[in-house]
Amino acid sequence: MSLDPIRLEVLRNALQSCAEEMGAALARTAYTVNIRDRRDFSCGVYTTDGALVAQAEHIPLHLGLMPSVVKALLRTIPIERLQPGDALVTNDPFVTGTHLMDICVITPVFAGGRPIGIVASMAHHADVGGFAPGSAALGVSEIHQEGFRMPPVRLQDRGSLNRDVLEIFAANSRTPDDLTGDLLAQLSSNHVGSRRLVELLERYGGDLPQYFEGLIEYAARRLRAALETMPAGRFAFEEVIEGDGFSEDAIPIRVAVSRRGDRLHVDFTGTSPQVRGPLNAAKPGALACVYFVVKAVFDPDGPSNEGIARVVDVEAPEGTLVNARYPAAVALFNSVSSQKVTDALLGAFLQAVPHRVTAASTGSMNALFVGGVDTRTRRPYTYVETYGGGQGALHDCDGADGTHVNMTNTRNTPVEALEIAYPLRVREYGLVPDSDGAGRRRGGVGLRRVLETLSDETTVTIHTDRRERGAWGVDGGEAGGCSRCTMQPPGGASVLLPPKATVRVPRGTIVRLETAGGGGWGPPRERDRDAVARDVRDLLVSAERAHRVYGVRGDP
Amino acid sequence: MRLSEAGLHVEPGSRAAGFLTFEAVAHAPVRIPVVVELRTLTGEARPGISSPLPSAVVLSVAATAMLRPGGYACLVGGTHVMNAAPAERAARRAGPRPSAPRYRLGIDVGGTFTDVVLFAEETGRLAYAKVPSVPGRQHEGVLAGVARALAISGARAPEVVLFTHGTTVATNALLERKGARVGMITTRGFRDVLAIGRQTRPKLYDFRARRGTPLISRDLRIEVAERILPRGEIAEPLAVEDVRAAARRLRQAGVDSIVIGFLHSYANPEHERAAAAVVAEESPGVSVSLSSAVLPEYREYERFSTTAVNAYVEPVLRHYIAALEHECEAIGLGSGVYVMQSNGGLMPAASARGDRAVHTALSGPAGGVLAAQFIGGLAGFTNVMAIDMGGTSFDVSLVRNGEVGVALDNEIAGCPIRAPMFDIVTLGAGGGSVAWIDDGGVLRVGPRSAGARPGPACYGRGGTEATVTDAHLALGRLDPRRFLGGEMVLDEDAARRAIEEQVARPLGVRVEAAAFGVLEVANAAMLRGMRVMTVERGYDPRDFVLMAFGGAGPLHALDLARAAGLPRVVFPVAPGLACALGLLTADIRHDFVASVLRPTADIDAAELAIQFARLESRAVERAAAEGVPAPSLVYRRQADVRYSGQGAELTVPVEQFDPAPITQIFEDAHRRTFGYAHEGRPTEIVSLRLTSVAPMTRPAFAAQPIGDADPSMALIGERRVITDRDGATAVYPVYARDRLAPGHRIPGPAIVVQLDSTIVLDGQDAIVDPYGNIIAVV
Repeated sequence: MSLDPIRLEVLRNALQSCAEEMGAALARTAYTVNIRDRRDFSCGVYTTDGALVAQAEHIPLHLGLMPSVVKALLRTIPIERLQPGDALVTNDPFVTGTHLMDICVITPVFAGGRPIGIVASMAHHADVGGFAPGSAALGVSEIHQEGFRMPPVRLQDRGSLNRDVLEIFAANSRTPDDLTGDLLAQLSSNHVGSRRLVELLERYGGDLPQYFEGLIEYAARRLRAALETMPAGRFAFEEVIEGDGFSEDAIPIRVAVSRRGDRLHVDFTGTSPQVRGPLNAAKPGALACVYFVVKAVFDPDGPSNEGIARVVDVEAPEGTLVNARYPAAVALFNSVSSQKVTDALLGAFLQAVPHRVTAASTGSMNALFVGGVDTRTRRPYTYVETYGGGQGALHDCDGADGTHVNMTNTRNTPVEALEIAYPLRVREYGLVPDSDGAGRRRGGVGLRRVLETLSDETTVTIHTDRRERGAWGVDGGEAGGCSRCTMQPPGGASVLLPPKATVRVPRGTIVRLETAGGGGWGPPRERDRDAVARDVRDLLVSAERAHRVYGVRGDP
Repeated sequence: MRLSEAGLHVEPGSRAAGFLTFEAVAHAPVRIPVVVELRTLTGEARPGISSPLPSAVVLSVAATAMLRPGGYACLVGGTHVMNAAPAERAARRAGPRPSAPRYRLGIDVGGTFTDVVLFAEETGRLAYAKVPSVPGRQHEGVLAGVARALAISGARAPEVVLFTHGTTVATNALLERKGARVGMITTRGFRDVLAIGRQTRPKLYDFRARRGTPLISRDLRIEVAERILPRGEIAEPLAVEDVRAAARRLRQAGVDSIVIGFLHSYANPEHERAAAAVVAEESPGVSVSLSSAVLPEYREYERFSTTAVNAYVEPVLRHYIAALEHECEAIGLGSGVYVMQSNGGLMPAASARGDRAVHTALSGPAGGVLAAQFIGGLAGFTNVMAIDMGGTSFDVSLVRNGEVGVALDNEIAGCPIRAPMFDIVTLGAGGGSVAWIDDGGVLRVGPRSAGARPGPACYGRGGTEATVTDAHLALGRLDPRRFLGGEMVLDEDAARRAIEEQVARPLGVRVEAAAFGVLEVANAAMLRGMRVMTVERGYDPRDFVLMAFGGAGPLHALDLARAAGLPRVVFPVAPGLACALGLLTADIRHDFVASVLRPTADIDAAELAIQFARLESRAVERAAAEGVPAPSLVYRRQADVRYSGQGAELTVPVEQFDPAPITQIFEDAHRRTFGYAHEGRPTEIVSLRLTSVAPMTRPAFAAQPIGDADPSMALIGERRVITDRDGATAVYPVYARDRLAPGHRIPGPAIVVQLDSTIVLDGQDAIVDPYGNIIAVV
């Protein structure tokens, strides 16, 4: 049948607002800072086959994961076996493509006894057990050490909550109340989405599924049109990850992109075999990075749905970092590897469509997990945060300072909220001067957070990268400043931590994290003198460096 | 030992319980319960104390606001301050007494026009004037409009007893980044809070999207040593010499406004106040905004950002108001200037200076929302959704149970502002919105607008793009000779041609289908805004009537109401003058907030009473400064409550000083909003809010008697209108709005034309109510 282009646009708006509404409900009812304040979650609407139709713009990483997860889940429990009022839950990375902390809740939506679609939410919970608070420790080499894994099961059965499942989750978390509260928040978010979907069916009638398909095809069509601007050829790039926590040996990510007719081919052949440490991804994780970069480069304004997957073929050999086999450990794929895969892809597209990409950025999500027992309340706590860094420059514009880039966009925890909620004191939070990759357009500068622990024994885990190799610049632009994390116990000397580490520290320890800056674009000496002077005035670039690197001397 | 806290809530003539807190160096605060007896409501306030107290302490009562008219007492650093008469003196000095006005002026300054409505108390008659706005010199347009309105109605300036003003001075200063040069003094280690914001980027897939640049550049954000902890404890004393040096540097840098923002100052403002005193010594005359005064709530970025906006607009606003007051005085206006705030309350111009300047950030559109509330109230509707559709934008707002929704977290021009503002959703959809086909072959409308120049194709001013207005004209829904009262003749052929070439042909459909498509897509975007206002906030659209404002609103209102499920549409008498009219219906209003951040279970009735009493003393202080007699104040008390650990709060009313029902009311609200409640889970109170209102008497509009139902006296012609996508047509009778009278029943389909708008009734019948509103049943 031919679809009415007007109704298509009406429905596009309606489904988008359905997903946004789900997200608003989740943020308002969740308990943990990570979900409620930092918005580390995503919500989407799917066809009954599990194809993503609409997604609220939350976390780009999830954009790629969400198309895969519902389909994978339906392979375990087919839709025919689901009934009105059911909801499924899982955190199995080999189903979801992400890490154990991301729990996915999926609700099939029925009207008149027939399934009409699916709504789902994925949220990063603070703790699902494992080796250290936050379930993202270093020093682990298989999934079972990372935490508790729940295969797809019913969280809600024909309308009634499955308390057994909730209890299993609770028993396996260091913060059981938060976890169950947040799971219920996800259920209610899905409930909101289901209601909207049923209303849409009532208004637009039985051909809703055709319109779902129409919207997916619309996104694909837009992307195909945009791909025509990509020149022929195979564009390859290599990026490396600085170690897996067991060693600091470089782990290569190799990728090549090429256009084949109206399709895009992405090939990860040559990427490192899966590693011992938790840097690996199930394939959907790698797909997520590809979809993000393709959308950002070719169709930033298009709908976020399955349509992208229809136009892109991804070759990710099994047993590699980007398509790991069970029982690989995976916790740091999101926080580190995904950002490096993204930079690798940008490096490849740089050669094809240079004016649409950035130089390399901060290269990880700069994650910090701090946990233990709060001596004030005797209750366990887990503080989870990812920090922004410098964005890589573009050919015509500076990279952004102190910002989340590429695969994530979670908010920070306000200093005041952090000090109220956790036994921690913030000593400093600011930008890191001189951490920009110099260039005609400079990279963004990184962030610095200095924390003091106020509880007796605290476990600290950091996930960073670009400790040795700064974010690469383009066309004569220099590399960005490197990341750096130190800790200083009371009365002791400051110790430099490896880029990825889990350590226990005594009360009064100062943890100082600086994130990497972004790469520059073009020779620094071609930079506009007023721009240099402004940076010097703002104390973001020192006078000495302005002279030495940018060739601008004297009092600005 | 010193008294750090004291407060009681007192009911007239009653005994009230409360506490006093004493702090001794190096000891935990000591809290002593007291009972205070009050002799009479109006008599002298002489609190008696029945429990033994250390003799060195001076008692202070934070709650004597209600003791006698115009008098209040408040606690300042442990000293008892009694302040009786100034309020009454100020009230006598100030112009308007809310009781005996004769003419009232409502002046709304828009981007293109300044609208003035003059209301005559005695006759209830309205006169209005529309004059061009003068960008950059708003007061000149205002004065020209006032002169015109006075001339039209034969009124004299001294007879104007109320001058109300919606201004875009602050909004424009923000949008155009033409505010003051601002510096900041902040806690050491945190100068970049304003730059980092929430560390997010505004658009996920756009590498070039940037957060708004801070209003204060990095070199002007200066750190000083000091540190306060979450409960207000001082971890590091304020380094006064740091502050002095910072103030000097800022003075040398030529700043004319300074933000003082320290961490956790909501819990203890001592350091900010001390720093302000130093700044005042170093730079007398410079504008100073304290974060603890502008927004005493936790979350430093939102607090600092709101304070920075205050500091940024304050000098500009101060200057504008001075110029306006000067001119008003020169023509002998009988009233001081009252400025509309973003929350729909008026404040005397003097209050718009200082730490309340930020409250004018969205002064402009608030009047329109008030108009919806007022007109709805007259017509007997307490649940109203107002839509205001002009040439470029579409505003949606909501009146619920007679009250306007207020949003706390707002953003203007990339600057987060946490201050109560009328909850208004604005979309880029107007009569001038351009229709286009995107790369995927789908019809889109807006957000780009053809504006007024060149304007839609049918304006004949050189525009060739197909717009929403062109679609209406192509379908016969607009009369080309009666647009804007006939001031402009529209080109029907040009409209049709534009729709044909830019929409119909690329989509491969008939021109009629294309024109309907443009309207439908425009409606879809607007519906999303309407949905955000209702269902996303947990309200059922079927409980609301739609009120249509703006030139284009009445053209879309019925279709929107039908699609969104609103059962009735109200077309007010003058849809284009809503904002100016609404100003005349406002009260003087201020909002105060106190941060609490503690489990509800830890808070007893007395403390609740004391916290509110403190807020009331601030309200009374403010009222005294504004010349408003304290007894006329009406308070509304609210609490922001959440489950312990939850991130977002729900604001619930506090009817009595008892924490138990607060949890109950919160859980009901939670269930209503999110569909469930965690019964038994502990809750916490995040903030307490007090709204103080000094009611003004509303303009009285008399209901006209209902007459004959036959509207034929208003019938002035007919038009052929296209009614479906295949091009079927029907003849619609055309009525003149100014000839319609209460009681007239207009059978649909019909078109009603008036000076500033056109109403299209398709299948619906409509009646004219006693106030001249046209009410259609969907």
